[in-house]
Amino acid sequence: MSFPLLKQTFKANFSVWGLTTLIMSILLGQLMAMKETVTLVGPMFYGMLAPALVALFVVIAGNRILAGQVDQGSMAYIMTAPIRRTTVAITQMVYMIGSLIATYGIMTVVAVAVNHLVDAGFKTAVLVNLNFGAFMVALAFAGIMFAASAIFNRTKYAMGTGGLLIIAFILLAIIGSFSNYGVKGLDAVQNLTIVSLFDFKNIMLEGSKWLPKLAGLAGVAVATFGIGTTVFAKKDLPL
Amino acid sequence: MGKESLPVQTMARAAVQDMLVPSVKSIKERRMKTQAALKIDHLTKDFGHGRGIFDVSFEVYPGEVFGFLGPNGAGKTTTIRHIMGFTKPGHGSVTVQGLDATTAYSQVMKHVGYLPGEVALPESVTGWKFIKTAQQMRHVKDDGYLKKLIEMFDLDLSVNTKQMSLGNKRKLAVIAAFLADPEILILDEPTSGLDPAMQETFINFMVSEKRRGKTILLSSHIFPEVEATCDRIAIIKDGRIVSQVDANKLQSKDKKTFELFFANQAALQQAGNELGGTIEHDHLDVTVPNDKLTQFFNSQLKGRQVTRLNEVKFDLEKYFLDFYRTDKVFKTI
Amino acid sequence: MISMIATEHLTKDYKQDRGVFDLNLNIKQGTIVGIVGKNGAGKMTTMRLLMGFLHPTGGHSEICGLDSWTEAARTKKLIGYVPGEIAFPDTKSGETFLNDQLALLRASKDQYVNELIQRFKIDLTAEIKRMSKGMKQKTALVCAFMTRAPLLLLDEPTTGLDPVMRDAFIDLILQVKANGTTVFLSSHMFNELERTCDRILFLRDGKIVDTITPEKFKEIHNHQRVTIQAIDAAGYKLLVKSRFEQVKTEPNSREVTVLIQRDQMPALLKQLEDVAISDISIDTQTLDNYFEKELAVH
Repeated sequence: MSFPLLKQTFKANFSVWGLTTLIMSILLGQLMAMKETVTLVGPMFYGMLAPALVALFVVIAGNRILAGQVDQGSMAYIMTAPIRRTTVAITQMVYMIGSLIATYGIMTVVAVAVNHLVDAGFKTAVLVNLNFGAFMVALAFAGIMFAASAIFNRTKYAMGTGGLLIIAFILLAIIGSFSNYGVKGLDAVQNLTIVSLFDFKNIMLEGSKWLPKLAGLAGVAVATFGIGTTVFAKKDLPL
Repeated sequence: MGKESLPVQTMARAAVQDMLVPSVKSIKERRMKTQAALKIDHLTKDFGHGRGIFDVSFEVYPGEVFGFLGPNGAGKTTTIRHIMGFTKPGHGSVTVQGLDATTAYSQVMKHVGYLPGEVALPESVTGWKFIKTAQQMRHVKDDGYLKKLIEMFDLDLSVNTKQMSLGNKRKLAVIAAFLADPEILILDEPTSGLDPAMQETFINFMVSEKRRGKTILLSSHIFPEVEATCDRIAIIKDGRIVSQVDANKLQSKDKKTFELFFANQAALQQAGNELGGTIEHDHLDVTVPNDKLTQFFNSQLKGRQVTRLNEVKFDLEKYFLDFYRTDKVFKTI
Repeated sequence: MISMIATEHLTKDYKQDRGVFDLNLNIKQGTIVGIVGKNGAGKMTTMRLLMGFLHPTGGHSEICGLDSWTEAARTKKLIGYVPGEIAFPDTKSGETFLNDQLALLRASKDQYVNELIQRFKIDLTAEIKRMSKGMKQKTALVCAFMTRAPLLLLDEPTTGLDPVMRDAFIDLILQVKANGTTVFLSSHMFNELERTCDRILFLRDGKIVDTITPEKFKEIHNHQRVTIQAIDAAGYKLLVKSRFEQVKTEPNSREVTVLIQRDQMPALLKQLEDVAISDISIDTQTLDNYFEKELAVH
């Protein structure tokens, strides 16, 4: 890991991270303070808004940390330092994971605090688990975007693959969520998106099915971060 | 024009001579009659900390190549951005063909073709596709001029931009920027990073466009191309125009200066006495009008035991070099 | 003396005759070697191979005995690099960029960085977004030189620089050379190469086709190019028939360009006694002229 690079990446992406986290926290707080908390916090926030909003940060930052800088040419300045390419990739990965931990850490604090303040009636453990699940979705997204960003030298290809795939997953999740409102045929759609591996319903019912499902997301994250790092270390860089 | 078929080198040289033909008087007459194609009037844009451009004024007339020189960071690109309407002036104005560059932006664009210094082309399209898009965007129906450009730059448009070298990308950018045959061309360091053969192609392009009556603003650090094309030159330094000169006045093209070395001191002395000129310890400097060249070489040099002969040429770079110097002390880290 | 750059059959084949082929370089410490060629001849690919950004398809290259691909991170400690394409990260100003870069290189600020800033007249407070090509290039130069790396790989380092800055660059190269620094640079400005280089490699279609040594510089400069415009056809004919090496003939304008050795001048003057001329132009042969033929080949 390279701390100077981590610092640079942190600074370069601070505004998009800060904005996403701020919006998500405010929204979550607002929804929790409203009346129909279960539907609003469940399907509405964790089912749709959280994945969609965090995807903004993941796609923008994920693209920028590797492909964006290679495409633009400024990666040359990072690569002139005696840092191994694997280290560059791992540093950027650490940034992605770290900032997502921070985002969902903040959200957990907000959720728990608002829960106490307005007495929304959630158990603290449920809120922690919800945020942990949402974090795993974000992590899998980050892995996908990271891999795309590491494989391609051009922003448009990284966006066109990683970004598009993430958006597709979100759209499918949104379409699939209509099954919650009684559109039966849409159940199958849920199986097409990794977002459904985050079983917020089961968490809210305090069930036990949700945890093994999250392992699927963890698997996606491990595979994609691994592939990205390996490819980035070996490919030709047009710098 | 029959001259079009002449090989490259001659065209450039012929054009240099061409540009030197109009006397200063005729240029002045022309200026009084014609409206400036490009008028920068007391243009000021203050970015703070002494950066920006201040009270910049100059005019470029139809059929003229105007050299816009100055040190890195002096404000050339900022001025050009004003002409293109990308930046709003703090004070003063820019007028293109009588139209205000800031407010009549879209109309101005019909008259202006702009080649930025750093060209970014979309990847993975063929040259043709790129040109077609550019044509549609500018609503160009007539292919005649486009064909001429392609021929002049000798570019294979079936190639994908991804496979093009920097030189070919720049060629493609030029063709796309100028295919609408605009009257005014703005070129911001068009040849930096290009090999000398490409630089030559650009010089020829500018010269032939100028002959067709185009107005050209050329920002450049490469003096041979400035020398070969420009009628007038303005130097901008620290955001202010510090000098404006008539390129034709700088160097008289109707006489030559030679440096003559002789076999011995006596021959040098004798030549000095008989040919005139000035003796510079080991050689003689002589200036000969062009119409006396035949006489000079046919008879005056005959039997003089000349061992070496050089031509002393005017060096534009040397002439302007002082303007590029600065004794400013810069902030450290 | 140590080889700072050594390549053996170094090849990067992009197919369709593009790339770099069978490159054998041996650049000793303290020498300055230039590389020239048309846009697209493979200069940038060569630089990228040496930097370990590209994986060679054949052969290999070493920086100071370290393989430039497998030991890429370690070689970077030895290299100062100016990329051929000017692109800066999205930082605020030149100052933040240089500070970030120093941190990345794990180097500390010292007097030398500030000396370089003064030398290249860099306004550090200027926003990166508003910097022109030349300003960025100057900042990139400071970046490459500031760590006093023993090897400098400079890909068209003077692109966009004004004449005074080009001179400042040349002075700096000569100064670091005196300290034993090795420099490998590409350029289209032949005269700046001539003032700095111990030898110049000419690259065409990815292969080195010519090497110019100081002896060859001398020989090139010992030639003059004389362009003569005859007033009449008879004079033109005489010039065309002359025994001097003809570079170019233009029947339409009755112009002949000949290449002569300096000591052939008396003989040329003898010839000119019989020709009525309207114009003459005499230049010392430059590297530009020398390469003109090679560059003109498609």
